[in-house]
Amino acid sequence: EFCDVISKDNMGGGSSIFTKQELDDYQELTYFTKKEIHHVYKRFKSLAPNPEAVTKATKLSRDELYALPEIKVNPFKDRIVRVFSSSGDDSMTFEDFLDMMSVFCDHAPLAIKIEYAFRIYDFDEDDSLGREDLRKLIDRLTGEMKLGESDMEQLIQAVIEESDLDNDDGLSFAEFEHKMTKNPEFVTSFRIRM
Amino acid sequence: MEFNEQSNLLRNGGDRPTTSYGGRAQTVRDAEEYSYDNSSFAVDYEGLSSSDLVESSRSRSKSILGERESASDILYRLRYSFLDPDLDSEHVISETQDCLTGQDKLRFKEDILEGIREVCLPMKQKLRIRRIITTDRVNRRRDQNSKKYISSKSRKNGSGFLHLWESSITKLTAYFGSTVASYFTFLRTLFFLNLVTGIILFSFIGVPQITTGEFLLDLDDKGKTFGHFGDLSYSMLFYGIYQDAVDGFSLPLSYFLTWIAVNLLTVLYLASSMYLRYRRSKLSDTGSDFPFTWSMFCYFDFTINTKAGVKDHLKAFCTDLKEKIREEKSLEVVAWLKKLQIYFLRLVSNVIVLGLLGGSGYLIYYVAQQEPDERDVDFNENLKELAKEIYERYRLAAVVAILKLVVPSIFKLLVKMESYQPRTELKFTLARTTFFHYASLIVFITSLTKKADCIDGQEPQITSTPSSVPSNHSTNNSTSCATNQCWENIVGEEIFKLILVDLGVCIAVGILFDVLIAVFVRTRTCCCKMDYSEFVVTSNVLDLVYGQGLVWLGLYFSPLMALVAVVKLFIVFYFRYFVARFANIPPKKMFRASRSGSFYLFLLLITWILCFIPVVYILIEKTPSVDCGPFAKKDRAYKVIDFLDSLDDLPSWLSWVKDALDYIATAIVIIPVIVVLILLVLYYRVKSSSYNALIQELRRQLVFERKIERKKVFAKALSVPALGSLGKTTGSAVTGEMSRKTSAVTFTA
Repeated sequence: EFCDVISKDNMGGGSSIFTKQELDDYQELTYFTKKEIHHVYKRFKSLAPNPEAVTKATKLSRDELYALPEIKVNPFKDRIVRVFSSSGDDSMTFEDFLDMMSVFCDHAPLAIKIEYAFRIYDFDEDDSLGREDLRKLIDRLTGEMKLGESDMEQLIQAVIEESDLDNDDGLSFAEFEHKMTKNPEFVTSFRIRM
Repeated sequence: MEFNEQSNLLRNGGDRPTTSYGGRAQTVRDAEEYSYDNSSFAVDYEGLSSSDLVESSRSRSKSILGERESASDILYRLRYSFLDPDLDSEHVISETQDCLTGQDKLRFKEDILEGIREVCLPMKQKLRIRRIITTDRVNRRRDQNSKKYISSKSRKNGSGFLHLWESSITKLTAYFGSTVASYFTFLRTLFFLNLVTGIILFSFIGVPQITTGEFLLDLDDKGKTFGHFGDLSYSMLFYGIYQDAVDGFSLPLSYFLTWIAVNLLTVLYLASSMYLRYRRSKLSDTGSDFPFTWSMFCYFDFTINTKAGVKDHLKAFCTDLKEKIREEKSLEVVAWLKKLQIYFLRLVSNVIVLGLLGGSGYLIYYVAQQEPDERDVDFNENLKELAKEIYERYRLAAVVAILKLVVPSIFKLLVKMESYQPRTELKFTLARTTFFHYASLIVFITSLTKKADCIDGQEPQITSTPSSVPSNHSTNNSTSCATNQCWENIVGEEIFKLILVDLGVCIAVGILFDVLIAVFVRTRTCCCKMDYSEFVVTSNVLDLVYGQGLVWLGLYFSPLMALVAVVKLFIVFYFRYFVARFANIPPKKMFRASRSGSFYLFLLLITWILCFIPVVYILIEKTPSVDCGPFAKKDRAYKVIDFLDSLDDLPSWLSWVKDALDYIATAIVIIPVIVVLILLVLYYRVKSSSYNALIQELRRQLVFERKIERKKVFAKALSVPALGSLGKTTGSAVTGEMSRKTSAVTFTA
């Protein structure tokens, strides 16, 4: 499906693995410029065990993905990889990878970041951030120093009180979105730079 | 609204438009609208397969509406397609596309294309949809669109220069996180601001002066020896050299106007960036911050990607969470004796703070009044004499800089005595330190300009030593004081000295505290448990703002001060960068008092106002010095703008312009204008507070509505006998569906 056609953009010579059509598509479907797309592809290639044999259809396994420095130490790396893996088995093709980096980049708008943040934080994938989700989230966030049980309970209770408008003991997407749009720091924190 | 079709799923064929929220509370009580017919319910959930449900919904919605779905409907369904795994998006889209023709078709395609980027779908699916849309587009449209996208992308590419130091900042972010990086980004903004200011001033003032060929003031004819920097004093760096000696170009006019223009540009830039940032963040209603929710979801910094950085960040996070929980707990009743003690301590510390402020103000004033001993620095003399001379010259700058170092630390200690919550502590210290900085700046500048009073015929300055003070050589024999001292130059030099000393102190403190401690910790020399020093963002930002304030103060007296600031910022950047990389750790407390960049800009704006006003006052009140500088012969500096005189030459039919200007400048017009402006401000405040009240009301309504609706749904769902055996799964399916779809209702409300 792909072919070694010299792309017509001003990358300054060299053959490209994307056709012009593909580059245009990627450019319009993500928040990257053409140069950045090539950069992302380079990073993708570097993660593969055999960089030379990487094609657009190559899938990287979970462990290979975990080697990416930007997510290697992130406490949520398993959720990130799971959410963005289109086949649901924690492996990503280049297009999934591009999608992931595009959502995390500086130019992605708030709405799409919130959407994906919700999915990442929803550990049991039931479309709502329930108490168990919050508990797991707090565990990840406190790292080595665990919070005591009573502190944890109090924290979860406080969050539910603040944000749960319809009293279903969990945060739905609308409630989550309602809170996140009000905080301008969300955009600066929910970012990964390539 | 597009959710009409979706929420119709759960109604029994009612094709009434759904009411939008925000107004008609009686719809809640309108039971008929929310009646869920049992029979249709059973039909919907009979097979319990979502595809059936969607099939029936799709056909139902289509038949209800009798029209095809629009682009936004399709996008909406795509967005929630994970609830609906059998949705064949391509089929739907190509079907709809085929039904449309001409302009409608084009618009449909555009809408889908624009919206598809924002939908959460896997890339493969997005690509497929895009292929469907773009296969048979009209060529003309396609070129137009691609141009639009390409041009928007290329705009981003061209900003390479504005991303100076980007790689260094990224390296720092990987360990320290976004807060520390925001300090460096702020530094970079200041760098560019000063660069632009400096270039404008240089090209309009410096270049004409260069064309006259005079770089240094000619000393011989008058024998003046003002200035502490030797040749630098008489160079283009300071006010003194600029003269009205350029042919065909009025340098005084240009000097004055460029200075005003640069200030206006600065304030325009600051105000507009603040405005843009403010707009981007939706303001939360007053007093409803969500500390816990935000801590959980927003504050974890994804940009940190080193192991040590994440560890420190999580530690700080945990401390922050614990603190917040303690805060909640500590709203307990305190014994009144203890309360009395606390209030007494607070009173004492406030008195001490005021005393410190007053004392340092007086000290600065006193030192400024001392006439410095103006001998030339002769490096052949012995060290003691040398030190004394340097002390004499740099006395004022040293005093200001040392006060700036000592007093905020005292404030930090004092505030611990007051037993506030940690975040209130931070706010108090910040406020006091800022106030101290501004006060010291203002006292500094006003006491310096007392020297200018000499010219107005007031009492002469008493010189402390009978050394080679320049005697009165000029022809001006009305006063006996040293009128030959070019007072603008002196003020400019003092400010320049202060900037240098400030830089020196910053570097010295950095080396002494951060680097030395780091060396101790690394080599484990000291046996006590020491850790690296933290990168304190607050005080560093305040330092930057203070330095910028100094530059703005000095811009009138020394046009190239901005370029000096550029060099200084360059040095500071690299110094702080290397200290941060090798000797600092991320702050243990999460500094969230700022709303990111807009807080820093706000500080900068306040500083600008506080620095602009004294200089304007000086311009209005003081006479420029008689024999140096571009305004040498004028009574007041602003008189150089004499277009009011030139207005006399206007033709008679424009004479009303002159009359109008005359009238406008009087108090009769200005006072009503001020009153009207105040009224406008009040009006907007009232409007915004009434909006806040409306928001609160809507929230209450929302919560109420959700409660009522849930109760109804549960009652209906669990009372249907046919679903009794399927019990739990039905229930969750209902609530699952409900949670997304009805929350979608609130979402679009």
